[in-house]
Amino acid sequence: MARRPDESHLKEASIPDLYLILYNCLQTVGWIAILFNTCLYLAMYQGDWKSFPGVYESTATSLNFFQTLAVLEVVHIMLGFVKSNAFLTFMQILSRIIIIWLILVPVPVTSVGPLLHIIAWSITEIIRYFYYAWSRAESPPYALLWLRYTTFIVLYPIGVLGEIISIFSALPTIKEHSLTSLQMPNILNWSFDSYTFLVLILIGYIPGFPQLYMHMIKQRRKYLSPEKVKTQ
Amino acid sequence: MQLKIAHQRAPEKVICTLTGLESDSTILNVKNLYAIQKPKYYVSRQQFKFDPKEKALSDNKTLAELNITDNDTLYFKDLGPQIGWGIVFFWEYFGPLCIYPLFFLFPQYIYGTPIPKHDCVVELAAGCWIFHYFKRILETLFIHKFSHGTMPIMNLFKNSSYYWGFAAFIAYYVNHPQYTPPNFGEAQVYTGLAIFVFCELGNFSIHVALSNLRASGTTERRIPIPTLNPFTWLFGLVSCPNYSYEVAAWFGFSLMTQCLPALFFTLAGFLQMAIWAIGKHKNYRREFKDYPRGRYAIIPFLV
Ligand SMILES: NC(=O)c1ccc[n+]([C@@H]2O[C@H](COP(=O)([O-])OP(=O)(O)OC[C@H]3O[C@@H](n4cnc5c(N)ncnc54)[C@H](OP(=O)(O)O)[C@@H]3O)[C@@H](O)[C@H]2O)c1
Repeated sequence: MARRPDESHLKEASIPDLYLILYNCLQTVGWIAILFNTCLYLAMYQGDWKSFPGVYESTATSLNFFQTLAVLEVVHIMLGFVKSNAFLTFMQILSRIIIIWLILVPVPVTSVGPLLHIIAWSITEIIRYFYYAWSRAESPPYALLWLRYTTFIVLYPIGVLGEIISIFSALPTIKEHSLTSLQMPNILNWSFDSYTFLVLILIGYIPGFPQLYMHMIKQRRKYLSPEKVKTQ
Repeated sequence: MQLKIAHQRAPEKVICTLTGLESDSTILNVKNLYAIQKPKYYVSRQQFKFDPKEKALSDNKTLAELNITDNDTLYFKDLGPQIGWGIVFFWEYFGPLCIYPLFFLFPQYIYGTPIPKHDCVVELAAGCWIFHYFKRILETLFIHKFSHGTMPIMNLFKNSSYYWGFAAFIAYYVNHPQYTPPNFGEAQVYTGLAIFVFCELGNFSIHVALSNLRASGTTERRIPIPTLNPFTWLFGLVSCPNYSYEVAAWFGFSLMTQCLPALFFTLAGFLQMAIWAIGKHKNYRREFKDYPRGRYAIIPFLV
């Protein structure tokens, strides 16, 4: 049966809806703060245009917190609150969590990488969370929908470029100091080598990036196609 | 009567028309007719829907039952190349059954050093592992009554890499020459072992109970209920107790070996099974009006 267009207006807000509106609003505010901190940093910045030391430190707490909190989104999908692909969402969030906890936290990166991906992430996330919060309440305006499915075209490649630069520029330090590595024997009976792991992650971008990008292009076609827009 | 067939992805374009159908023809008859026109899409590869966004139509329903009339359109979906369930299950379980013992029996080739005598817990772990996968193969061969004959061939590769990969990952660390036995010694080992054995029996009992719900050769689905076997009483609390037992069994294994990779396996299995269990639970509630209230999907009182 085709969904009646006016159905969304009749729908009563349920507890998950309220919760999700709150969650998405909180994330929107969080990412606005992150973008604000970064802009403030840039305004005060006086060094050269190749490395931006301390850009991550200028917003570390909020970035660590809100990006790690995003793990909840996988839980939302699993609980059926949100309809989406749990695996793809998990991979997207995981790659950022790895960048934060295995690179930015232990290594003082001085390259343009962190600046690029922090800006790309925060603009994308502000739009995305704002869109989700709004769409839980009622159909968001077309401008917001358009932003949600358009900005990624530039921001996503910029973000990925920044991530790759960050990983590359941190690799030598990680190798030299065997940072965040675990060797046998230990009571967890597991070993972990951050350097090898990050090299594998870098290789993972080769199939991962085009796949996610094409996925977003398809979404864009789906949500912004002329016939969809008419029913809005 | 005749039916129009369109592709689910391009609903406006009619690919072909099937003629010679009656109102008491079944969806299986439709599939057979379609397979004659398009031999590439053999029957098990086809799926039909009445509305591209709704559920697939089941083989044994007649057109009359589904309110499909002359000149209606059905939407076709290609499920991709198919392979028998038995083959997929066999390979996905046979891999772990072979890979794990390689690490246990031939440490000199893998770690470069022979291990004169394994720790007692390492021997127990190898026993549990082999027991589990042997049990799964036997269950697949002699107990389960699957409703689908086939599944997409990609599943063979996906499932096998998951099980084979985890088998190597866990076996590498549990059989490692520098393996550290559990902190709380025997108490921890035997608690973990007891949980594992108990839950394997539970998992087996549920598989038998599910198999008894279905007469041989049919694909009907009934409300599962507790039987005389106390292990099946968990049906009173959750819809998919076989998954609950499976997750708990791997938790027992992880506790016994105190090995983080085993815990990763438990978690990955839990996530996957929780998603399936929530889906199955919803289906039960949708399909049966008198489905017992108060049951959860996989974890009693929680999920
Ligand atoms: N370690 C891991 O990561 C992991 C992950 C998944 C599964 N497993 C193991 O694999 C086992 C089997 O998995 P599965 O997903 O195939 O389990 P399942 O869907 O619960 O099915 C088990 C068998 O029971 C049948 N059945 C289920 N509900 C029925 C009902 N209401 N009436 C009649 N028959 C019914 C199924 O037939 P149908 O063909 O009709 O479904 C199937 O033959 C699990 O119990 C678990 O031990 C392990």
